[in-house]
Amino acid sequence: MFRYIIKRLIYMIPVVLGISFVVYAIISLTPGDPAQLILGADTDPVVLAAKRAELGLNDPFLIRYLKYISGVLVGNLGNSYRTGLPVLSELIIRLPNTIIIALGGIGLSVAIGVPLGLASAVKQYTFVDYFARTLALLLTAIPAFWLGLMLLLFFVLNLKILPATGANSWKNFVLPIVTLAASAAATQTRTTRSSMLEVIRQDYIRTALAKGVPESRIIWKHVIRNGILPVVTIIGMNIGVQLGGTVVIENIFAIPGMGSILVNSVRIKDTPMIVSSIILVAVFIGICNLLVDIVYAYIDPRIKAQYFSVTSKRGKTKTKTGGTVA
Amino acid sequence: MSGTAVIINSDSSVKKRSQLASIWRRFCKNRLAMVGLVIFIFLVFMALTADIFFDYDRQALGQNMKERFLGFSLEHPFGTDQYGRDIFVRIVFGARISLMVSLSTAGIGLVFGTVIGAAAGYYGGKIDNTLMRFMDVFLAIPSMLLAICIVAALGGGLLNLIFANSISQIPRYSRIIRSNILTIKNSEFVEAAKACGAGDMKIILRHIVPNAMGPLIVQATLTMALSILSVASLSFVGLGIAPPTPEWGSMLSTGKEFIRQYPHLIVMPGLAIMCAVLSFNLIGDGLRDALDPRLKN
Amino acid sequence: MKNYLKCLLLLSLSMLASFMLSACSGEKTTSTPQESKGEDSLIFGLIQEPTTLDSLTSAERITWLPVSAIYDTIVFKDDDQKLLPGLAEEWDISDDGLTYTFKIREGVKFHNGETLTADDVAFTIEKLRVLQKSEFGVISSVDIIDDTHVKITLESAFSPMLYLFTLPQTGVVNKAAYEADPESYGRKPNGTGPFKFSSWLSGEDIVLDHFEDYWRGAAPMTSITFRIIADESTEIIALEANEINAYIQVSQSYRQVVEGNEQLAWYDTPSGQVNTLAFNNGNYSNGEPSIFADNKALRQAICYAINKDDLVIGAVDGTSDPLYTPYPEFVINYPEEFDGNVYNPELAKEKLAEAGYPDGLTIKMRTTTQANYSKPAEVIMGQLSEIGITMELETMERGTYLEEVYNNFDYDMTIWAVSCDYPDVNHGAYRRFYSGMIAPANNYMQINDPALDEAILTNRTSIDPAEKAAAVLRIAEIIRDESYCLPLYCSQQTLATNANLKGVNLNSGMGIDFYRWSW
Repeated sequence: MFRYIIKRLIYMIPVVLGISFVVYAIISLTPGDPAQLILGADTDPVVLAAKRAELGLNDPFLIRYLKYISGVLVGNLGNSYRTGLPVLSELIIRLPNTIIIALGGIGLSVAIGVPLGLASAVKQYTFVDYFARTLALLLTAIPAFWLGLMLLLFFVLNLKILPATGANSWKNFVLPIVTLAASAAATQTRTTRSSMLEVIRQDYIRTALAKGVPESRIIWKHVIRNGILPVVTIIGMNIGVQLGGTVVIENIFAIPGMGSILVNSVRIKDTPMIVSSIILVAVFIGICNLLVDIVYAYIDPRIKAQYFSVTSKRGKTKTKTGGTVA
Repeated sequence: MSGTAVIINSDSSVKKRSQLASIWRRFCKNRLAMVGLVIFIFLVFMALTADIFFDYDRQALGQNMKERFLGFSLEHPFGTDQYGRDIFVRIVFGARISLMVSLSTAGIGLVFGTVIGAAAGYYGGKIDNTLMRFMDVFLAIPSMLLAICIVAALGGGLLNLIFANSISQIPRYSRIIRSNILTIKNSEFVEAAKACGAGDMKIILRHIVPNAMGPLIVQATLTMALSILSVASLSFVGLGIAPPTPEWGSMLSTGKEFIRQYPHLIVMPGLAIMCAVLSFNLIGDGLRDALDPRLKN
Repeated sequence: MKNYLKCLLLLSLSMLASFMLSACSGEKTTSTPQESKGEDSLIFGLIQEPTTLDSLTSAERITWLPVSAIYDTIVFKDDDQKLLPGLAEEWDISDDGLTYTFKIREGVKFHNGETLTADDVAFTIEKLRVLQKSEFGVISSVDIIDDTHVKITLESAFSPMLYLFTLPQTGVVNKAAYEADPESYGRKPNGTGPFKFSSWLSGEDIVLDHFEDYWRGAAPMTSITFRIIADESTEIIALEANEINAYIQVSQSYRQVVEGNEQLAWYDTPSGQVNTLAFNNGNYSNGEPSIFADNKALRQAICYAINKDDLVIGAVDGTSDPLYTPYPEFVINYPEEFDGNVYNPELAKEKLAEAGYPDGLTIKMRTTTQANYSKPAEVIMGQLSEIGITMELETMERGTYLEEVYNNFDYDMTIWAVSCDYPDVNHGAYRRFYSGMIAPANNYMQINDPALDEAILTNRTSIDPAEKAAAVLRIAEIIRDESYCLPLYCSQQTLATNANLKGVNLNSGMGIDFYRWSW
């Protein structure tokens, strides 16, 4: 298991390098002068030229990229073009806000979606089922920012119980998390429902029912345990989507997080800030996916076997006992 | 094997035809899926016939300052916006753009993803490794963030948005095809086909791709739903399709400042987005259910 | 059997834990806003984060708000645009208008405790000569006469000189601190103004505390917090919820909301930014001529096709009046009875035929995504279609726009603003219309007209009032007759505040004097 984790972490490195190159290229090779964007359109050309020299913008693209990435590999994420301050210090302040919203959104969506989906599957074709499915369908279709704006108007202006802006108390995060969780919960409900339904249709469930095992025990012992796998997968896949969704949400609720700094940096082509933010996000997602896969292993012993054994050929592994598992 | 359902199909076209028929029958029985299909056909109809019923330049773009912010009426079923333009007409033309963007995104994702995934799965080894790592790079960046970078760098506009959206979707398609290929690559009928002298291309096109069609199409409907929401979100932060093009997301973005006095400016495009996304999801769900052989009973 | 439960529990617990931990630590790392309900602090919303607080390099307008609170300028200006002594107690202008001698006020302290001397003023002006050459290049030398006197010598007479010294971007800096570390001056500014810098939490707040030893006496406000809120829908809600007490550049569409709310107050004034339809009167960067170069009839056709009354309704909800002069109405010597080009579609079609396009044509307009430029562009598109011109609107990202249009002149038509931040036409006219200023980011319309040049120079250097007035009129006439560009309207600067704030003022060019504000 340990070896597997190490392998995964090492394998993240080329991916992250690839991401950094792609994004750096996109930003650098398109028109737009960061100096002019940062200092202002009407800045004196002498000042602009000095700024460009200061930022190292006169070097060719590859040199700039290599300088940047060699810094990253030793932990120096560069200095922001806009402020001149180290990128790392600025991102450290903002990353927790985004993570709170993203994880909170996922947590809330799981807390609501999984039980709802389960109930919907177990009590198929009843009111609960139709209610859950309709709600889920509607929520996936509502654009997040529309929902956020509505919630903002309602809870802040009409009810006056929540603050509109800032990030210093837990109250600031309620609406963003709810907004993010809304469509994620919908997806969770639907996935859980279909996954649980698949399990319910299995023969062994029918056997257990025929044997006279009480329904609640069947649900707890067999249905959830077997049906939870795809749900966990979806949670893992969703982390990336959630992190992307926080951009718009941070914009609406004025929360200083990764999303808002990315949008602002992208407007002024603050390359170190942009690339470093995306690298951090990618690393975070990679670690989350790794955690999800580890959880996977604890749930499904077959997968655990895969991780603990030597991988000989792609797609086929030899277990410790010598047999092959596809 | 757990996970995706794979219909192993041998080369019998008769069997294929009756299979398609039964899939279609199952789909039609699903009421929600039919609702989705009806909405989709209606959207396509609107998009295709918009020019026949309405004049784009005069009604969707033409301004009339004396008729700003009108409410619902016979002449203007959805009212008018801040420049006096009929919102209903703009939504109809917006359907054209939304459908174009979502279909193109899904199409590009499908084609490129299939090619890459097929090559990776079939040839295996080093090709598989490099291609999949490449895909992982794009999969690791949240699609919204990647889209923001691309659009901010290249500028807004239809083509750039389609490009930005499809880049992050391609890896998903390639994964589907690749897993399909891996599953049946070593099965007997493929070996038999090879023994008969069938070339690689033929095997891929004739056997593998049709098998994977099911999950691919389902993914396509998801992509279409996602791309509409994505374009709307990008327009919201100011990076999407710019006015005066009547794109639903940009209508939301410009109408948001009038949300207090004239909410119909954003309610109507918002509902349009919801309907479109809903229909794609319903069709996708219906297809997924229809393709599942275990539901035959 | 318990494994799956354990996993789910673990996952949710860890999420909850991280959530709570971060929320708690969040309270320590971020500053707590002072919810001012009667306290003497002000929370001001900013839609964009300033890039620097160094007055000398603050080219972005939004930066001028905190900058004007942190620094003092050499000359002050009152609400009627009259000049008042600032850091200079008095000044003397030589008869030929070439020499200005300033007597610097004594006993003025910087925020870091040092005393203001002629050294600091001279240093500031020297820096301005280099960093803001287009305006201050006219100064040929700066001399320190003694501890309290500074003399500047101009290349040629320049009547708006004193007005230039009232602008926020000429705030006097501390020479010693600036020379020691110019890079971080922008993040840790040091001025003589009524508010001193306290903290800057990137992306969130800039906090200023009032300066106890301010030479005019400490300001009534004990502190100002500039809070960055990127989305205007959120900003207005924050204002209504009293989480912020004021914000600037309020969309006209919220005017009803503000005026209808007893707890809020609305202020507006002409901003000095003249939204202008600009033609490329010269060549593209590849040497080819634009369609408007040497085609006066085509330019005139478009000018006559614009209905400015409709335009101001569509673009700014009728809150500005149409403008027919290429400068705002508050400039000195404004020609009151000026007859501009009025809307005349018949004449427009005639001119179009005369220009060689009797059946109309397609013209591309490039603009940025900013609402104050893209909105009038949309309206104009509709109006041009009425005379047979199909306008293709290309909205570009700011970066691309600045590079291609502003710097390289690769455009035919665009909408941009000609700014006039002080009451003399020179500010806009010299930079944008003078042939000697054809360069990236300056005279981007590539206007090259000797008669116009002469009028601009006369206004700039003449000390005879009658001569100046005639030159000001001449500038408007030439622009009108030659149609090098079409002034549309002067955009309004708008401010919404909590109704309990007193002493609120709003002048053009982000002119807010926080010193006078109180509860």
